[in-house]
This record gives sequence, C-alpha cells and structure tokens, in this order.
Amino acid sequence: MNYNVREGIVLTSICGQHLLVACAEARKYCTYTLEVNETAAFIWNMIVIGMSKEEMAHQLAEEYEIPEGVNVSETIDGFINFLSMKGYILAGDNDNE
Amino acid sequence: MNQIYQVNYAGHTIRYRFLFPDTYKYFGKMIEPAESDEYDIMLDEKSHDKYRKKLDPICSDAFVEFFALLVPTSTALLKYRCVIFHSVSFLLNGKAWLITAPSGTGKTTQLFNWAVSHPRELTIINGDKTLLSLQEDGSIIASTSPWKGKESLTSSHTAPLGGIVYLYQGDENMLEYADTRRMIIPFFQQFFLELRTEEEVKTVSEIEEHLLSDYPVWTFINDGSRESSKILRETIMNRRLPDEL
Repeated sequence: MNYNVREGIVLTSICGQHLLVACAEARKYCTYTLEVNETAAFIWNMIVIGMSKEEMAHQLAEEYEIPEGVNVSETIDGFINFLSMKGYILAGDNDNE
Repeated sequence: MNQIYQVNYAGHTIRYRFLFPDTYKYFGKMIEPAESDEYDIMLDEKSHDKYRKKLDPICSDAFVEFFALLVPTSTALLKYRCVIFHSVSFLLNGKAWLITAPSGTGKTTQLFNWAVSHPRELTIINGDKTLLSLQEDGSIIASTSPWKGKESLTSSHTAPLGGIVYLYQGDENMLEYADTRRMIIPFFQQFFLELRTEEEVKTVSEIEEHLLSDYPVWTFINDGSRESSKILRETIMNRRLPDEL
C-alpha cells in the first residue's frame, strides 16, 4: 500500500527539531504545527516520495543499522496510523504491485 | 476607482488596494499614495466578513479591513525575509528587546511598569506587532509596523535585536534561560502568517532559527507586579539573570 500525504503539509526543521506545518487548506484538517522526532521525519520523507511500506522498512533498517529479524514495520505502522488519525496522510490506492 | 497606497516595511514596499476609503488612515505615517495602479494585496470580501464577525460590531469597516490586512501583509513580507511577530518591542542601549506571549499575558503591563519606574530609559518601537527583518549576515533588525495595539504605542526607531523574553502568567516571579526546544512551537505561533507554500515555511523557519540560536531568550513566569518588572529590567540591562551577577 502507498500513502498519500495531504496537500499543504510541509516538514521543516528549527534548531534541530522537526515540525510538520499545515499550510493553506490543510489547516482545516490538521493542527498548525506538530513536532516529530528524527525517525518520524525520516519516515515522513519516505512517505512523501511514495515508497511502499516494505521499501520504507528496508530504508529505516539500513539508516539506523537495525539488525535483521527486528520488526521495523511496527514502528512504521504506528507512525502512519498516528498521521492518519491526525489527518496528515490519507489512505491511497494499492498501486504499488 | 480605488486609490492604491503603499507602505514601506524596513525598506520593502507593499502596495494595497483598499475596499474602503478610510482604511489608509489606520496606517498612520507609514502610508502614502502609490505612484502606479499595481498592487500587491487586496483583501477579498470573504476575509473581511470573517474578521467583521470576530471584531466588536462598533468597529468600522475600514478598521476591520486594516486589522484583516495584518496576516496577508506579514505573509507577503516573507519574500523579503521579514515577518511580523507578536511582541512589544523597545529600544534600550542601542538594541531592540522583545517581550512576547499570547494576548492577555501581560506584555504591556511589563512595559508600563518599567516605563513608570524609569520613565526615560526605554523607547517603544512597537506596542504589539513588531516587524523583524533577517539580514544577509543572519542578524535580525526590529522595527515598527502599523499594527501597534490598543495603546497605539509606536515609533520610527529601528534597532538590531538584543534579546527576547517569553512571558507566562504565574503567582511567582521566575526568570530563566529558555529551553530552546520548548520555545519552538510557542515562537512559531507568534508569527502572524497564513502559510501557503514550502518556501514560506522554510523562510519563517530560518528566521525563527536565528531568533532562538543567535540571541538570548528568557522565559519569565511573572505575577505582573512592579517587583517582577524590576527583575526583568535587571536581566535585560545586564544581559544576565539577576543571580548570575
């Protein structure tokens, strides 16, 4: 499955802290600013470029040198569920096969 | 045909086409008729209606328009790396100092207490909405904007930024260096903006990064008393907390 980022959400960084900022119409659906940690920002950037969950899991494991066998999908699922609840991402079409 | 007016914000001109003939009066000495018919900002009637409903019914249509133009103006200024920041600002020893907080927290109270106890010490730059300009070298200059608050406090003074105090209301007086991380969202929310693009977000982020990284930032839980203003004054005058002296 791939995920669609709501239009108007911008990831920015101030003093090393990452924020998701809702712009324009997105402000009707999302809080204006949301602080996210570094891992979340890394995952967000992968969602924005349209990676599948499998691709994201692979990239995350590589970036953070997570040993094989450790389930990183749970981390990704958790963040995606959180973003969906908050209105930042929308479920997309399953066109990644 | 509506006349076009222009306002100079720290060397950058914004041209307005007003809906109402008297709106220009609220800009005070900062406004003059523009030379051409082109304009940068014209409020749409829907936005005017939205502010009309928020403000006291006794406010004139022209005042409502003036008030509503704050956010589009501040947003338009981002392309010049300028932004309007919710703060009182004053000049002291050649530097501009900002006191920021949500409305009703006591920014003006602190200013007034200081002005009463030391009448000629500080010069107001703006009583509510200060214009901040990020320079090429990364420094920030503070100057006034037409939106000067209920007390109409303003002057034409411009100065390099000295530091910022973020106020909280409380039953005690405790002033300390801010934890920068905790100030990121409070500061971001004090910019008057309607962000539309990634570029605008990045620009305001850059300005805020400089504010938080390059200047002393203090948080001040205070009870609004004259004693609290004495603590504030000592800190700003010495650029150190009283217990560091």
